[in-house]
Amino acid sequence: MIAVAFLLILLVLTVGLSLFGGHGGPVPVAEMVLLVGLFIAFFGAGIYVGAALGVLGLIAGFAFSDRPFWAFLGQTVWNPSSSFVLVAVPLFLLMGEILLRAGLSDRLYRALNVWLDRLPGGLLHTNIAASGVFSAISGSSVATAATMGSVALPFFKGTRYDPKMVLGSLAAGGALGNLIPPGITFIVYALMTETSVGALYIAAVGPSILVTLLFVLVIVLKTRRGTALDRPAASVPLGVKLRSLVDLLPTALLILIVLGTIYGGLATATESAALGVVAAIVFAALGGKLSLRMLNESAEATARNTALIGLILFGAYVLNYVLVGLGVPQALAKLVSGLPLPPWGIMLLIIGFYLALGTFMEGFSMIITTIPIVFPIVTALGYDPIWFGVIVTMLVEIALISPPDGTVLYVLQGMRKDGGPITDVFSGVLPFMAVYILAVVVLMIVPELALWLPSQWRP
Amino acid sequence: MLGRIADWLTALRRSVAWVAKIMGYLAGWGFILCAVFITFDVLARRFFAFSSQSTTEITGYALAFGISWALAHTLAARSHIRIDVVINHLPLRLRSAMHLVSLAALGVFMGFIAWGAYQLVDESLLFGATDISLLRTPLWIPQGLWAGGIAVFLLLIAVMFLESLVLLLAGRGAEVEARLHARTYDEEAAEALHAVGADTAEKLR
Repeated sequence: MIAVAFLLILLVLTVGLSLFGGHGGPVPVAEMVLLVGLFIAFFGAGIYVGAALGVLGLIAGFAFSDRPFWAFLGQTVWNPSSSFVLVAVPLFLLMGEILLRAGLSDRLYRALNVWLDRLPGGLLHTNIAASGVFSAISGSSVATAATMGSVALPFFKGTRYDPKMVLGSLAAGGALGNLIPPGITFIVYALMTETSVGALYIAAVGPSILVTLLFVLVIVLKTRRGTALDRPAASVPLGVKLRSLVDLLPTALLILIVLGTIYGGLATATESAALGVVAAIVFAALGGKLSLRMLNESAEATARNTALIGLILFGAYVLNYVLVGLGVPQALAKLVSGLPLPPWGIMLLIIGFYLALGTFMEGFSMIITTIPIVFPIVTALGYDPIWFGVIVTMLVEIALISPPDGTVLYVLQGMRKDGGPITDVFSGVLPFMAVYILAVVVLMIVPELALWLPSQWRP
Repeated sequence: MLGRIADWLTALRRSVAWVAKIMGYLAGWGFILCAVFITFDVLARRFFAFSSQSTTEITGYALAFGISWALAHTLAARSHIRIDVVINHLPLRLRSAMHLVSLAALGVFMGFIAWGAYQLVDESLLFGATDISLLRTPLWIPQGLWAGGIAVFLLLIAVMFLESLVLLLAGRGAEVEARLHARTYDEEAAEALHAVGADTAEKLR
């Protein structure tokens, strides 16, 4: 509700300021208000996101455009459908689906635990690390939370860990997945803004490290202030530690294959995703988990998740085609950059807008829907497109774990056996959410954190 | 009377959904082949100085095929994304009516897209358009497959719309709700757990 109120205030503010802003040029205010109103009505009515965008595009086209825009619909939708950049999306999804079924999660968690056990907060760090690594390769935060919850929660039975921190750290770890390369959010962003996937992946390195460090800091501070947690961890003999590395090996190799080829400039994101799929099949075969049925299930899940993104892209491209023809994004960008506000003030409003939207909208739909409109504004304000891609991805991740609507929180709550209230999960995740937002602010003040690396290193 | 029509439409919807399901699986296998093909090309280029020089085009077609052939199956599996925060609070009657509105909007949009896709294929045939890869693929082939998937999607939307309409008129709104409501996160989590085999482990415990 707070989110909706904020969005409405933002809308009124934009319209109000545009009327009194005192800048030249006609602004299609009536059209924009009508479109935004329809947009809200469609979404409220629960219409398929892709259809809502598409029908909005058709209405805008027939109402305001005198060009035969419908004659170009086929080409408009065919272009993103057959884009080589976008091929990376189903391939990464496929890799994740295969790995999900390859029995990797349990071994990953155990192996990481052997190494992180002795840090203050022990198992909690394992939660962050395992969820972070797993969601980086699986791509879906809900799947990560469900899998990691099922693996990790039994470990905490009978320990004195605060259930709030346990659940909070699991949720937080899952929210690293799209930020740590190779995330598919970046691919969709790159497709829609014509930026480089490789540059986005390199820019994400600094912020990923920052957020992870902040998470570790939260755990260390929280557990030091709290009571002693578990049994004084018996030191694990080095032999066991080294043997546990074998369980980490498939994951490490996979990351090396996928990220190594992208960062080394040996392959495009799409090519390395394909290598990742083949490697995942090989690892599944080595683990004895490869079967026709397993591949078949992975294929079906991949097709479904790709079609779901595809339909939204269809709608967004049709809407965008019509709006660009009408000059709406350009006019809006001019309008907003002419507002009597400093650029960072507008950027703060945009960040607030994404956080609010994210409380009830799923990440992909959010990015595909808003980027065509928001991106021209951001570039008109003089912000770097690559930097903004990282910011948007972080905002989408924050939305996933923000109470009271973050999906991941409910998945974790559903997996608990101790019957505690959902507010445990909420208060557990809040410190992590707070430092995640802090990281966004830091990135606003020090954009070099993301941009320095790509400027030095172009694959 | 209405009940019988509804049952007949349900049977029709089931058979279209069955075809759509097979198409969905084919789309997924297309992606697996795609991965193998790209990997082969990357390795061959690296180690044997050989390349098909048409990966970009061919995998792009595989994507177009994959998206469009899985569209209908995704609808039948209730996986297309909707924002249901508001409608979940509505009474059942109103909610099933909203499902109908959603399907209608989807149908109108996809109707335009299907028409556009048909025009595109028609033009490619007329001009004998090919791509610029080594293969000189006639564009009507991938575009035709793509348009075919969209056509089946449109057909399923139409059949589902009719089925839901008749069910609603027959006062069986609850069935509409069961067939069309958006997937919940519980269902998504259950799917992930099934994938890792955690659901069977749970039962054994």
